Amino acid sequence: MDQINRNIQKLFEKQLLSKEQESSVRDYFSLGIFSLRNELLFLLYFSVLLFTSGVGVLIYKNIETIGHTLILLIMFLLIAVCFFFSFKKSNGFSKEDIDFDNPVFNYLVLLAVILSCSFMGYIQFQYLIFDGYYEISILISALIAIASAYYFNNKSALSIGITALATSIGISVTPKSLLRNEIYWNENLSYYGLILGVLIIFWAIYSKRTNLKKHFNFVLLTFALHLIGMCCISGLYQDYWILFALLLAGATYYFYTVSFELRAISIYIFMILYAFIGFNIFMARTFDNLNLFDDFEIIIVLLPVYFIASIVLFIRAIKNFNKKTDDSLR
Amino acid sequence: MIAYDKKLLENTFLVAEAVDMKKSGFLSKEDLDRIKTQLPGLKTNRNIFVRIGFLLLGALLYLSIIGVIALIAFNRSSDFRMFGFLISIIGFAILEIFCRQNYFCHGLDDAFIIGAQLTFYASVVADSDSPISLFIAMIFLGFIFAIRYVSILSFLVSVSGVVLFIGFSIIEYTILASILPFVLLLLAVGFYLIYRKVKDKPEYYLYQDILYWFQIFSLVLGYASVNYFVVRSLSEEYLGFDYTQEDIPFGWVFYILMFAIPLAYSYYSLKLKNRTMLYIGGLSFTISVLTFRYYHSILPAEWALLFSGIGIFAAVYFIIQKIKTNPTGITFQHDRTNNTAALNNIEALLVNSQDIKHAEDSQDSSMPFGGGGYSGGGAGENF
Repeated sequence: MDQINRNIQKLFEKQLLSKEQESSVRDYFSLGIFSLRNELLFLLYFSVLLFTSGVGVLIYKNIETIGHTLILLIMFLLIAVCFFFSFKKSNGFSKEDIDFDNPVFNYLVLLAVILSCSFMGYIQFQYLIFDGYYEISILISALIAIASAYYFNNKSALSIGITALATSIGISVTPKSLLRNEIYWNENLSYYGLILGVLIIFWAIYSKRTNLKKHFNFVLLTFALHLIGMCCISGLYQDYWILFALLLAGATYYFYTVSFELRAISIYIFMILYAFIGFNIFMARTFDNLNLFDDFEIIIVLLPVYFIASIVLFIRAIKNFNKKTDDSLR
Repeated sequence: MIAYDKKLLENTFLVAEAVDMKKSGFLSKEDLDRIKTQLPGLKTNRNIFVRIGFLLLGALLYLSIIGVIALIAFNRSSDFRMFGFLISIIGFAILEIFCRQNYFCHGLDDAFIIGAQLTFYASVVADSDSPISLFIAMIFLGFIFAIRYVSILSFLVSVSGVVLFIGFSIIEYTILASILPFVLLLLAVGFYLIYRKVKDKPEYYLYQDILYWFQIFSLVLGYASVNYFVVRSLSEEYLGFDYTQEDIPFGWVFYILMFAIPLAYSYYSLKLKNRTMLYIGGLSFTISVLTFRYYHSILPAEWALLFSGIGIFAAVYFIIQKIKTNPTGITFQHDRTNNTAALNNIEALLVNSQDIKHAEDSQDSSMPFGGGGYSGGGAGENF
C-alpha cells in the first residue's frame, strides 16, 4: 500500500499524472477496500468439489452394501432442491452474460450438475435402464449440464457438459487422466474427436453470429483446441498422416486468428505447442520416408540451430501477441 | 552497489505501477503510452513466457561458451578443480556486460545469475567437501548477487543458506538438536521483524520486490519449522530417532502451533489487509489439516470430504452474508485492483480435474482390482 502511494507520488511529481488521476487513485485506496470476493467464491467452488468427491467415494465404496434406492432417492432429492432454488433465484434465460443477484447460487447449480452426472452414472450402473448403452446415460448427463450452463450462465457446467460429450464418444481426457497416463486410444477415436472438435467450433461461430452467450466461446474453443490438437497429433502416427498434417495446419491457422480475437494467450500458446509438436513429427516422418536419416551427421549438426531458432521464433511470436493485445493474460 | 542505473531502474518500477493502474482502470491507454515514452526504463520482460524463452537462450549461450573454453584450454593434465571457479567468473563478467546493456529481469541475465552461482556452489562443494562451506558461500554470494543485480532468486538462496547453516550447525555441532524447530521459528520471527522494519524505508525502495519475497519466506519458514510432519520426518531422517512406538518430544506443542500459526496469519492478514499473508495462512491451514489426518484418521475420507464440503460451504455463506454490504474495509464488493474475470475461466477449466462420476467410470469399476482385465494385465493387487 505504501509502495503504491510512493509510486503514485513520484509519478505525480514528474507530472505524468494529472491532479484528478492522482486524487482518484488516492481516494480509492483511502477507502481501504479489501475485497475477499474472489477468495470466498473460490472457497465455495472448492467446497462443492469436496462434497461431490465425498459423495462419489461414498457411493463407490458402499455400492454393494447400502440400499440403492435410498441413496438414489437422497441424491434425487438433493438435486431437486438445488435446482429448485436455482430456478427460483434465477433471472431467467438471457443471451447475455447475466449473473444471479447472489453469486452463491452459481455454485449451487454446479453442485446440482455434478450430482446429476453421478446420479445418471449410478442409476445406469445399477439398474441398466438403457441396457448396455452407457453412452446414452452419459449423453443425458451432458445434456443436463449443457442445458444448465446455458440457462444459468454457468461456465463450469458447460465445461462438464463438453467433457461428458467427449466421454460419450469414448474420449476421456481430463487433466487427471493425462497426469496418470490413462488414455486409451485407437484410430477411430481420432476421427470422432476431430468431428466433435469441428462441431464445437461451428457452434462457437454460430453463437458468435447470433450473440448467444458469446462469452462462452473461450471455454468452447479451449476444448476444441485440445480435442483437435490431440487427435491430429495421434493421427500423425497413423497411415493417413499427411491428411492429419494438413488438418493440423488448418486448425493452427484458425486458432491463431481466434486467439487474437479473444485476446486469449492460453489458446495462443497451446496452439503454438501443438503446431510445434505436430511439425516435428511431420518432419521426422518426411525424413523417414525420403530416407534422409541415412546422413544423420547433417541432422545432428543442424539440430542445435533448429532448437535455437525455434526458441527465438517462440519469443517473437509471444511478443507479437502482446503487442497486438497489450499484455492480456487469459 | 547496484549494477544498474538507478534512475532507469526506478523508471522501470514506475512504468510497472502505471501498467497496473491502467489494468485497474485509473489510466487511459494514451496516458500509459505517454508515461512509457517519457520514462525510459531497463530492458525487462514482464511476460513470463518470453522470460523463460530468453532464459533458455541464455543458458544455451552460457553452455556453449563453457564448451568452447573447455575444448581450447583443456588437456588431460589440466586442473579441473579451478575450472568451476573460472566458469563462474566468466559468467559473472558476462552478466556485468548485460547489466551495462540494461538487461534487467529479462531472461538472458537470469540465465547468467543462476549459472554463475550454480557453478560457483558446485565447485565449492567439489573443492571443500563440506556442506558448511557451501552454506556460507550461499549466504554471501547470494546476498551479493541480490544487492548488486536486484535478483529475487539470489536473495532467496541467501536466506535459505542462513536457515541451512543454522540447522546444520545445530544438528552437527551441538547436542540440542531437538530445539531446532524453535530456533527456526525464532529465526522466522526475526526475519519478519527485519522485514517490517525496512519495508517502508525510502532507501530500500529499489528492493521492494525482494522485500516482498522476504516476507513470504519468513512466513513460510515460520510455519514449516513447526509443522508436525516436517519436524517428525526430519528428526527421523537426520537424528535417527524412531517414533513408531511413542510420540516425538513436545509433540503436542507442534500440534497446537501447527494450527495456531495459520490462524494467526489469517487473523493478522485481515487486520493488515495483506493478501499474500492471507493466502499463506489459508494454504498452511489446509496443510495442517492434511498433516493431522495423515497421523490420526478420525473419519473415513469420504465422510471427511462430505462434512468439510458442507462446513466450508456453510461458513463461507455465513461470511458472505455478513460482509456483503460493507462499503469499505473487508468486503464482498468488486475490487478494482483485483481481476475477477480470470477466476471464472480457471474454475471452468479446473472442474474436470476432479472425479466426476460419469457412467463410464462405474463401468470400469465393475472390474475387480488388480489381476488386470482388458485394461492392460498389469500388476496384481499385492504389488
